[in-house]
Amino acid sequence: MDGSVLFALRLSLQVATVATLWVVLIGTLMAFILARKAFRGKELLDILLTLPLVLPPTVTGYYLILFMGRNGLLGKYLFHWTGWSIMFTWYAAVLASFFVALPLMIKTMRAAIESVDGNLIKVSYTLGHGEFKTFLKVILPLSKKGMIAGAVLSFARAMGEFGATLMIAGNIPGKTATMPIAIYTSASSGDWSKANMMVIFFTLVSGIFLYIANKLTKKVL
Amino acid sequence: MIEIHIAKDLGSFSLNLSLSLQKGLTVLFGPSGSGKSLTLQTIAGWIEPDSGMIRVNGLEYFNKTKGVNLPIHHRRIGYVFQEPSLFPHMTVFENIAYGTSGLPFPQKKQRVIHMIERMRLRGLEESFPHQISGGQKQRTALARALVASPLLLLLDEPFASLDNPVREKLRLDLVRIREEDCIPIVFVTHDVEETFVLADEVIVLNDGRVEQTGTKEDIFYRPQTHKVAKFFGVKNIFHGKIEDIRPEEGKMIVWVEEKGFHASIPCRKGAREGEWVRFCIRPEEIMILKEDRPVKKNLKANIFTGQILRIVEKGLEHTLFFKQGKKDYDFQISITNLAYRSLRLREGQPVRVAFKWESIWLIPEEK
Repeated sequence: MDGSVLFALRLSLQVATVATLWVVLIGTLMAFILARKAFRGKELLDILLTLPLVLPPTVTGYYLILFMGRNGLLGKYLFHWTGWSIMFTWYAAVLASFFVALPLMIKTMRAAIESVDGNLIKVSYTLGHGEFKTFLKVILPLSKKGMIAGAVLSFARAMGEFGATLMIAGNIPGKTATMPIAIYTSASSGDWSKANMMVIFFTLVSGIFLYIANKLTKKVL
Repeated sequence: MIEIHIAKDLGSFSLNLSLSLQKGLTVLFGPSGSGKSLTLQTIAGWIEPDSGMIRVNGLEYFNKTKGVNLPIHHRRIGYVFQEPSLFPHMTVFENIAYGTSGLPFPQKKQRVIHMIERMRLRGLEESFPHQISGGQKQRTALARALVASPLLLLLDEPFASLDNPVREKLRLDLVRIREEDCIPIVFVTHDVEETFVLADEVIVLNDGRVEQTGTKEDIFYRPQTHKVAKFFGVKNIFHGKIEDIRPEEGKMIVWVEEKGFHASIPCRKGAREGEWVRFCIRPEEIMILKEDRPVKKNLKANIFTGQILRIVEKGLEHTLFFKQGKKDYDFQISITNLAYRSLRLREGQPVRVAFKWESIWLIPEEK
């Protein structure tokens, strides 16, 4: 098998795994805040975090350039201080996958947290446990189902990320070309045999992944 | 001692209470929507009053003027809901142990084991909530609430969704807890029987206000308002005009126009002829006279002749609806099944009924 194919696959898995870890962490926190806290601007935060779900990934990618690009709102300070830019690195692919997958995690996890019986949370407080301990010992274990479902969805979404990644990570073979991007390159350059192989391979890997995820979900629940 | 002076406005409903509870078991009684659960939730801290203060054994839970609002997890409260609300991902042991954090492990374990013994939960330590019965769940919830030695135990209709025999057993468990642990218990219910079994003191709530406070005998036999009389099943409540006062006999004669009868009732201090009074008699205080026996002296003042309109069987007793004239029934009479059988009553049967004038309770003037 072509070395670049294996690289693309490895990169895709790496990007999706790292992005999913962050998505689970940040998504759970955001879901908790949105589900259990009342504050001004909650609605706005919810909308902002959900937007990548409905926007074309290229638009999400474009916003990421505006923020993180070498001359972007945040990126310019980063470049100024460190001389480094996230653009066209595999970190950029992680960032793109992160924002695109985050709403899936938040939605699933928020629903899970909101379905935890409110009386259990109240009881936990009366038994001397504050908000943080109640979150760790009651809310989180009871939202496990949502957490796993959210993580699986996020990982799948991150694996398939194309548009936003192309915008900020580019298409550098052997550096930022993830599997979906490599497939696009092969197909558009008429390299059908390579494209076919990658598509079959990608489908197989995704299928196996879903199978494992299903098994895992059933086992845990 | 628990002092509660709170006001809370919820738009369509407002709560305005001033209570002082001693140790022992206080029943908060009221119809649904009277604010009893809301009161409990305010003590627990889920709902913040608009004004006032809550103090438990000198510890200030809430004080609007001083700006005190103790977080729930510092209030040291044991709370049990109507639904068991056990943590489904923990075993019975873990559920109970959840309330003992902060203690060193050996002591923790010892306490939990002791509580498991006390609440008849041995053998169920490793079971999960979905594997045990409703009564066992509620006993676990009680154990979990008690294991942390709370300052105050708040019970929100804890036995309402249990079957009758289980409910009776749990009531006895609670009576035992009340005797063994010296903690104040506030018990919310709308069940008259439960109130009678459990209460040291009863607080009757209605529409967010205290209707009456007192012992269960006070509430049962000496209701201070029309509402309390109604809630506790007095059934026979009348409004009558004083026609004659006989202080030497300690009674007065009133005319109940709506029903068309005269009755002898106890004298009220300062009453004047022509005034209106509200009086009541519990259905179990009215007797059916046996025609072959002489009428006792203290019954002679209130004898009524009429017929039995309807008979309703109520399990432990029978309720008879008695009427004199052509109107609807005048009295509801409760008699034991034994008496019912020996009297051989049937609907439409002419009977004479009587009651002692001392059994009549005059409901004080309502402001």
